[in-house]
Amino acid sequence: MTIGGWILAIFFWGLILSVAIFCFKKVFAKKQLK
Amino acid sequence: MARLKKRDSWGTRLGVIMAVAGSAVGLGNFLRFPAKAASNGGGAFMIPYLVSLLLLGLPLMWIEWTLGRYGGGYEHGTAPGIFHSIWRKNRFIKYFGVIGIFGPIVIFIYYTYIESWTLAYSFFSLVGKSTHLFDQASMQSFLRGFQGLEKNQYFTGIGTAYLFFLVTFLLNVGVLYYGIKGGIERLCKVAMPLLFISAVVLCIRVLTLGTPDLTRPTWNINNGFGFFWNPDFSALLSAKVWLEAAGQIFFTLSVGIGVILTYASYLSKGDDVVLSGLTATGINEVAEVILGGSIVIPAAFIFFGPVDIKAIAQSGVFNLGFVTMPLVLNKLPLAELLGFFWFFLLFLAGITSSVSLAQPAITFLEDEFNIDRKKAVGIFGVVTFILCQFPIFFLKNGVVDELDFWGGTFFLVIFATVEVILFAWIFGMENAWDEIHKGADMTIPRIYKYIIKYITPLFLFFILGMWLWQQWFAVIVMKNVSEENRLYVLGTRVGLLVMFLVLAIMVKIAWGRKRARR
Repeated sequence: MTIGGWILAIFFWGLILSVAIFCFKKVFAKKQLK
Repeated sequence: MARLKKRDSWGTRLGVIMAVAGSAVGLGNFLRFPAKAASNGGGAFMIPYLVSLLLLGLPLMWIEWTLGRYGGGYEHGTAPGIFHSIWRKNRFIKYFGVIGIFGPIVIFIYYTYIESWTLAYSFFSLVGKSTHLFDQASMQSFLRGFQGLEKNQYFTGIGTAYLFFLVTFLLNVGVLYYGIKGGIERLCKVAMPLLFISAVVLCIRVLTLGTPDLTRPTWNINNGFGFFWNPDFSALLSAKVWLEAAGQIFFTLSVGIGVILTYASYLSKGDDVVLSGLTATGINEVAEVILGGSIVIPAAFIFFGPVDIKAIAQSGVFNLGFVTMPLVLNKLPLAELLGFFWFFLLFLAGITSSVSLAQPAITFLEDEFNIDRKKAVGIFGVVTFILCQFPIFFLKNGVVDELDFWGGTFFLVIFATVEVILFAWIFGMENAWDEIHKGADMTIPRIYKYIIKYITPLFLFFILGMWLWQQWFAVIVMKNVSEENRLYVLGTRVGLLVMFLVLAIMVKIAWGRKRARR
């Protein structure tokens, strides 16, 4: 894999994982629907 | 007569998020996305993909969650009623909403059949029926025999495929029978974690493949990921690549179908749609980019090499999922178990999507005709069972492709365009902004006010314009359809038109009854 490939892969993996973790933290911190 | 029964509802916040994510995570995440990315610029494809996600996918996700919750407040869970609630003065707008019931039914009638293949193949893997095949020709012959396209040493007819279709169809109807909370939510809360576990197991296996054939040292995992991620920035100059990326965002997030509207209609007024929409999108992207991008293409590269992989990536979703991937897994120890994991993963991705596709039609019968849920599921089951026979028995005649084009591609863009215009321009952006944020924990960046009002509709018009410019004539005159299939394709189109008209008449009847009651 080239450096360009690594940069893109790490950027996208990092971005997606951090958004997903942020969302889940918020979801679990908030009360359930009922 | 006043409405007597209470609408169904979600049990928990996590449940509805899992259900929407389950609807979004489908076969496309693990098959369509890696193939599209690898053959459209590799890592560079991710740039238009991200742009489309931010300007098209996320805004539409929030719009559909908000419209759905808003419509649910008026006891409307499908697009005809929701659109009518937004623009009461316009008596035609409810007919545009028919697309939000029509599209999901069209997809459901071929998707359930393909989903049944994944169940069948997970069974074949477990019992070792397909794990002794090691070349493309045998695996393709196995698939064609299974589909009933040829009689061979593996299958003598379509019987086995039909049996698995029946099982899959009944499983879907069974889940729907138990309702939103008891059926769909319960299924997704179990299936989604299982799906992720299966995907992680396969990812770990692919990541630990190393260099299996030491005589070919370049056929290794590093280069496998390189084939997927190494950017070819010249691809960004091609309009086709941008359109493919935008199309993938539609497919993957299940926006523009009508399913999210229906799911969100079962929320209550104060439920947070901003965070829920973002979380469902996040789950889908983890499944697609991180897991989907790390299984099939890197694994196929290692076993087929840098030359063949290009043809494999362009060979289509079915070939990738049902021929290439089983061949790869058959070359590994514990092939039976890995094959089972792969196809069971696809089955879980499939069933959580197919139940969501069925829901708008059932909700329509419940909400607009006041029909009891179990009876509505029964009516839906009988009608779609009959309709499913066409893709099963006319698979070789291009019926599935035709259904996929109209139900799963063309009408998605039309429906999304209507939604965004209604939301931002008819409902009004100020009202829309307030409505999105009701009960929300976080605020959407203000720039999205302008993106939703101007950029998203322009983006959608651009996609429609490009399609009209490049393809409409060829599609209308069936230029790419072979002579012997033209009658079948024409028949499918007539069938779809009749289906649309029947739904439009049902909408007219439902509104006529309401007027009479008032």
